[in-house]
Amino acid sequence: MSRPERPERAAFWPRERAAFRGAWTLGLWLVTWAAPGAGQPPEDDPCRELRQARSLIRAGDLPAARRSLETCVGTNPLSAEGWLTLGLVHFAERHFDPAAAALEKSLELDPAQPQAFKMLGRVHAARSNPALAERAFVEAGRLAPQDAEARYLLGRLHQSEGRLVEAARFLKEAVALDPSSVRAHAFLGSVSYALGDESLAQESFLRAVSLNRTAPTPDAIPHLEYGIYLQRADRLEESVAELRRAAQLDDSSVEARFELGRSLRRLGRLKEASEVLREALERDGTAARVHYLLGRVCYEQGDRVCGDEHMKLAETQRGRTAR
Amino acid sequence: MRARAATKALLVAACTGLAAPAAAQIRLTDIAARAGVDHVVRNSETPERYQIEPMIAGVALFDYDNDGRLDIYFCNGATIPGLEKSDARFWNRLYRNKGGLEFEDVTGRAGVAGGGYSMGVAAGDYDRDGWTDLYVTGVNRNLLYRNRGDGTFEDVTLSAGVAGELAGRGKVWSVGAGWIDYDNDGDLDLLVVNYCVWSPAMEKRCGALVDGYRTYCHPDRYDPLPNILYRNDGKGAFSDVSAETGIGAHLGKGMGVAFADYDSDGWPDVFVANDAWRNFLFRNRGDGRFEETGLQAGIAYIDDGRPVSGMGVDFQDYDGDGRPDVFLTALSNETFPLFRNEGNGMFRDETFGSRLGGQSLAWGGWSTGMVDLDNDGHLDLFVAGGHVQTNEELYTGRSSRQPNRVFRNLGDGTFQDVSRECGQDFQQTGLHRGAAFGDLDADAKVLDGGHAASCSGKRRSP
Repeated sequence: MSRPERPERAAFWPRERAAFRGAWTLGLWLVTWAAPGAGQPPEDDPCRELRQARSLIRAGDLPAARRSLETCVGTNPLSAEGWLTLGLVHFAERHFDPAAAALEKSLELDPAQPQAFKMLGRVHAARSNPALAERAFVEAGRLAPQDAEARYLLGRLHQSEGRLVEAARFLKEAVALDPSSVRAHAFLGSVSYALGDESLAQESFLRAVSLNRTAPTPDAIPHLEYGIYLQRADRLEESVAELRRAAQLDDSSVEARFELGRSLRRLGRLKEASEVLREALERDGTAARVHYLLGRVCYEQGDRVCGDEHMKLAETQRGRTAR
Repeated sequence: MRARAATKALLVAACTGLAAPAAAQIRLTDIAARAGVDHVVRNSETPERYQIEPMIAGVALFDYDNDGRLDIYFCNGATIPGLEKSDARFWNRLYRNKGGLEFEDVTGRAGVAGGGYSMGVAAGDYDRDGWTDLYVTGVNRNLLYRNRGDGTFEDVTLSAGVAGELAGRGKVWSVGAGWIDYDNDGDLDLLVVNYCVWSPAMEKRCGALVDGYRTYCHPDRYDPLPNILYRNDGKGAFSDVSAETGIGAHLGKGMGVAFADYDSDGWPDVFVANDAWRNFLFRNRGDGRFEETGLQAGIAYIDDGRPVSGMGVDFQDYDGDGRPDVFLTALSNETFPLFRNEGNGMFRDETFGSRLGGQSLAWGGWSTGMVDLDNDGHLDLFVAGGHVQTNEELYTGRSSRQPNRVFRNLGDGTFQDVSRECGQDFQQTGLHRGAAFGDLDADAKVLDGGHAASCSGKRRSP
């Protein structure tokens, strides 16, 4: 029996962190997935539009790619690859229901696709259904026992649900299967810290950051995770450096700027904190936590009007979402 | 488990040797059985997981008979869904301290068995007759027991006007209370902390749809309530001044309350720890009104802008700068937040700066106290430990039952979790909830509402 779902109290890794990261992460992943040579469509797949769709994905034109794929599966409804790719594009566009439907159709045609199960798990996780996500990730791992990503996804799922012991187990399996996995190392660091294993946390973060330096496409996540860890360890100057790097690598990241603002504020560098928090709000003006922190910075700068304004905005935005 | 209590109230002694400036090792020994404290909390845990079940077990230490020794009062549950103390197993209990760390149950004689499903208790001499009185909060009954001074109490709830009722709503679920002279007129007023809108009939279903997997719901599933402030008229009666003081204007899900004059203006202020809701800091303006300043003071949320599951709270000066700071407990994966009073009306979240963050992340905490357990002049932290769920194992593999925690104040702004060094008895796991602190055997050692205790007197080398 898969682990049942339940409402979780506030967790160390709240869901909004996943939301903070969603778009950039997925966009990068999708482009990588569609890169030339990165798993070409089967030669015998009847869907001729697949290659064209992949080109469109690489070019970042997801609506055109989706239209092409809809034509593909319309004329070739037995194309498992066509449905899979359509599911990916729907997911990238945050159309979760049609994404799940397309992926389930693909798996109906070919139930031996670990890739499709992993993507279906991602869709379920995005729809806040961790039980179904877990089931899909487990199935992916069963089909591909040596697949590090399936373990990684299970680890991340458990982490986001606050099941840290299980998260650590799967993340350790992921790095054992793929020692070059930057993210698996980074999140293993975070989970280890939460479990009190400082030694493994430090080792994992350093490994992640080191691997990231030589990666062809450097990832913001290890710097973000390491920066948060350093912030909690009161190593604030080092934290600022890592978080700045994360913000540089992911220009859209609200979270990197929020955490950078926290570190700068704790260092008493209020002007810089204010600037970086305003940058975060330029990217997402509805982020209640950013308004709250900026409000605090304003108060500390002696600007009561600014403080009251952002506190009010924080409470207004918070009231629009579940507490 | 169901027949027995889900929670446990404890008495623990911090054995520090004689009061001395040098830090002593903190040793805590369970002496409940030896001391004759055999109370068992009965919360009537059900498969339906009624929200009230994990919230009980308040405890107070106070000298009810003025013999110079601290006595113990425990709150207890009731039947569910009836919410009645149908028999003596559900009574609240008063244990008289006979001296020599021996206690006797005097509940029946004293007339303080309580009624309904009790939660918390606050002790204070509201009528200034020299005898300490009790206010007991609960789900369906709040009670004011006036101490007659002859070993008995009388229930004066109705005549005093402190039943814990809200206009248009009637009696609501109260968790905590505290005595505070908010108007500095020399008599104790009463602040009652309410949790949420709840009745057995409206309980919701949460958790997986599998036998045994049902869980207590997240507080987001229930509507918030205002707190109540009763003003003491000095003649044995109180008036509800929640509206005119501004206390009643704020809806929350209160669990803990503590008082201190955080802005040094001579008027006591109020901090309310809310569950998954922003905390309240009510600044006493000195003109009969309070201003809720939690957001401006930086104490409404933890540093990352999120609310935690606020449970117990204490409001004392941990860093010796003369300004009261705030420590509160929360649930696993949230940390136990520590807010340092900056002296300019604002607080700074020092949870991680004090090293408490990483050390508290794994634990769930309930009642708490800032108390100098090792007599070194610095306030240490005691936390009653346990998970809110009683079937946590099914979900995470982690145990619902947890040991209590002690964080030793190192005197440099940081704390060290020394729980493992506190002796074998202290490693006991449980669903701990209530705690109170005092010197039960008048030997200058601190005790808490937990396991009863004796001292080994072990000390570290000076």
